[in-house]
Amino acid sequence: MTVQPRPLNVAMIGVGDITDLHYPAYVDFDQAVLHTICDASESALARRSAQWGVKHKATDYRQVLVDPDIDLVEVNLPHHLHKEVVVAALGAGKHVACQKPIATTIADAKAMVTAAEKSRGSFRVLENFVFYPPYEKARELILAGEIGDPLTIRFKLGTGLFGSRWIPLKSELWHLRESEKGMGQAVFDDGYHKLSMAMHYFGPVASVMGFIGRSFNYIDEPAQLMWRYKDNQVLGSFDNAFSPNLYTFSKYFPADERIEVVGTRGMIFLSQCTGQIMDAPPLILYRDGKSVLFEDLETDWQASFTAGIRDFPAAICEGRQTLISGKRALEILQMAFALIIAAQKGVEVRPDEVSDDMIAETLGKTKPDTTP
Amino acid sequence: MTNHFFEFIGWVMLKSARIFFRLPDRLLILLFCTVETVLGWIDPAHPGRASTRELREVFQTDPVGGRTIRNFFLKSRHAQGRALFAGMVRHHVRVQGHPYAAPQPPGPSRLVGRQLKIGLIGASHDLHALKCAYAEFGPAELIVLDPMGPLPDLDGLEVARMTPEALERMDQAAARGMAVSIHHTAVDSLESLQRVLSVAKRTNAPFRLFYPYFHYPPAVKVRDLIQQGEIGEICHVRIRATMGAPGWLADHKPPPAMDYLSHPAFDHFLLLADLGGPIDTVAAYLNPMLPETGGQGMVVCKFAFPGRYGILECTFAPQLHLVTEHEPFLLEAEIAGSDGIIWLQRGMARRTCDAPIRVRVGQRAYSIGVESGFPAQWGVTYRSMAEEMVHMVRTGREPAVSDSLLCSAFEAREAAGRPEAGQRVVAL
Repeated sequence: MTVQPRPLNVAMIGVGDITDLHYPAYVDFDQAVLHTICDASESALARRSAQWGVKHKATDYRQVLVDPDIDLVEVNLPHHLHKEVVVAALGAGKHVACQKPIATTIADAKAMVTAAEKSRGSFRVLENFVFYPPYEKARELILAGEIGDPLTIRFKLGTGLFGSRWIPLKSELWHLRESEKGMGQAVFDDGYHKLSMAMHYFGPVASVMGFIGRSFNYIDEPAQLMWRYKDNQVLGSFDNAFSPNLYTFSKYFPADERIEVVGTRGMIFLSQCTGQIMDAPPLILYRDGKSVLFEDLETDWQASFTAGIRDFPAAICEGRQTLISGKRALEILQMAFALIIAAQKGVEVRPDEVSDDMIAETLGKTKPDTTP
Repeated sequence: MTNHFFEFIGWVMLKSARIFFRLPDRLLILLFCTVETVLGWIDPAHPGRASTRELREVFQTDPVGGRTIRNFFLKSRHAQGRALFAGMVRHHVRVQGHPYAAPQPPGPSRLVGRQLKIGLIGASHDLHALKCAYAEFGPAELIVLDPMGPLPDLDGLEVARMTPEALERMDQAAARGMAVSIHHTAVDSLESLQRVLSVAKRTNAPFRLFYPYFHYPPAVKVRDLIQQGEIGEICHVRIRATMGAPGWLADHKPPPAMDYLSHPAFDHFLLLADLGGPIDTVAAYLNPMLPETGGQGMVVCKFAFPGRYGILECTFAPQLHLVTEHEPFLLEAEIAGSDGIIWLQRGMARRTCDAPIRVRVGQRAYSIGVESGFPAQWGVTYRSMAEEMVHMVRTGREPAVSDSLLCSAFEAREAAGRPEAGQRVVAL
């Protein structure tokens, strides 16, 4: 990997809602600049161009890939379109950042990982939770042995319907259509973040079991899931609940997210991420009969996107891999599917044994719809 | 500002018209899209609009003829509209306490005024606390019995350890119409619980299974809040029991397989059933619990009530320091419902000085603790337990915990202990 002497030119393929959180990372950032935006919708392009002051526009991603000025491509498309664009971009020698989840099938994800291995460009999947400052701090504390040997980790997702910014109907519709493809909004899509953190803290997962319910026939909540890790004795759990009448404050989405880690000598509590339902420090360490409150951590969810996006150009310049790698992203995808299959079948499932055939057989579907 | 104005119009339309729920799908779709289109005209920054085609497709895939999806969208749009006006409404986030609802005083009784005698069979590590509790709330005297000797003339019998002799004494006590209380640790299986229940039923003697969290005031209050519908329809119950140091396990041998799932590790199947209702299916990941290195286990469950799930998590953390009046067993619970969340933040031990109960519901938050005169000391559990026993003796009335709930808890515990519970869900 050669050191880039000038800022990297970035092209964003897909300028949907999520890119509201991507764009600020490029403001006043000297290692990368947003050079081109690309979307099938001309009106969206016009809107973003006016909003962001980006002059170069394209309606076909292929135009971006042949542009020699572009160094790095961000793929922010509907999930089932990731593979086609990522593989093409890697084949064109671009550095590629893809929004989570990596793909909607195991085969697609593997193809992307293989393409990354062969490409001279770097590849990463942007999963922002691993860059959220309180979560990073908690990981530091765990690795430093502040709570002794970890024993359990718990992820909680509580979703409400109000308390956040106006969520456009189109966004809601998009989420529900994803659910229609067999993958759930809470366990698969948003859950990807939690599973990513689960592995980021304690490594790959050996087996999973649990239950997933349904609200409004679509939303995969409430759910109660658990897993064993491969390389240690820690047990993990992920529970989610749908509380439509609970005011869930957030600048982004009305999601209450908490993490709790219990170790042999202490406990860690993380009280917020996307949203916030209680006035509490973002991170509390309990040990030796005392609680240490970390009150000065950056808690804005935007900070995780900014840090995560900026780390990629920095990693490219430094010749290192940033989080999360394609391989890890694939493991997380397998774990997500494993949880869904385990809940459907009522059996323990090993994520590394999950295949598209197993998914199709369990969800009663063939490959997910890939029409753009 | 303009964006908000038109969103307000949309909100008013939704708010003021229950008739929207009765509109034909086509008209409703048109309405949604019209509002979004107008928003897009007024504000170019407004994100892309949902198309009628997309909406129609989703409505058509709804297995309930479009009713659930329309209800979801109307609810979510309504909630969005409410949120817009949250800032305009002065709302007060209060910290308010609920006065502790003292249990009802005993009814008319033939035994008022007489010192009661309650016998105890089996060793109890909290004997002193029990004796004091009875003396304070009786007046009643706790008499430790020789399990091999004849059953004296008593008003009630507490059984702390189930041996064949104790079982015989229990039969005799029940046959004499004495109130019988069995400590939950004395019942080691569903079969033995059912045996005890059948004796009580046959003799019509007042019976209870003594489990401290049926008496610990914060746990009782949490149950009351749930039953009153404070947080709406319950969808998730989580209980975490953490044993710290210096802990019970440090002084004892690691428990055998079945005991692992009961005292003091997984005692709380009873609380899980008490808060969530009868349990339908379980699965379990259980790791060994060892004095030096600790250990943990998780039991996930599906309750019989549709759409309700739960977890009972138990951890032994050998160097975790907990503040306790009795033993270092921390109990925390979190119950989520459609309207809010309740947290129970302490049990026998605590790790925080926060109030024992915190509640978030709608746009309110409050706690219940010392500010409201709510008793949360563990010792109150024994007083409440003694009071209930005296009440049983005096009135012949049993506590309101159903036999089926008790059986469900024990059945769940046994199912979680089966080897297959670690490979697949086990239905009860």
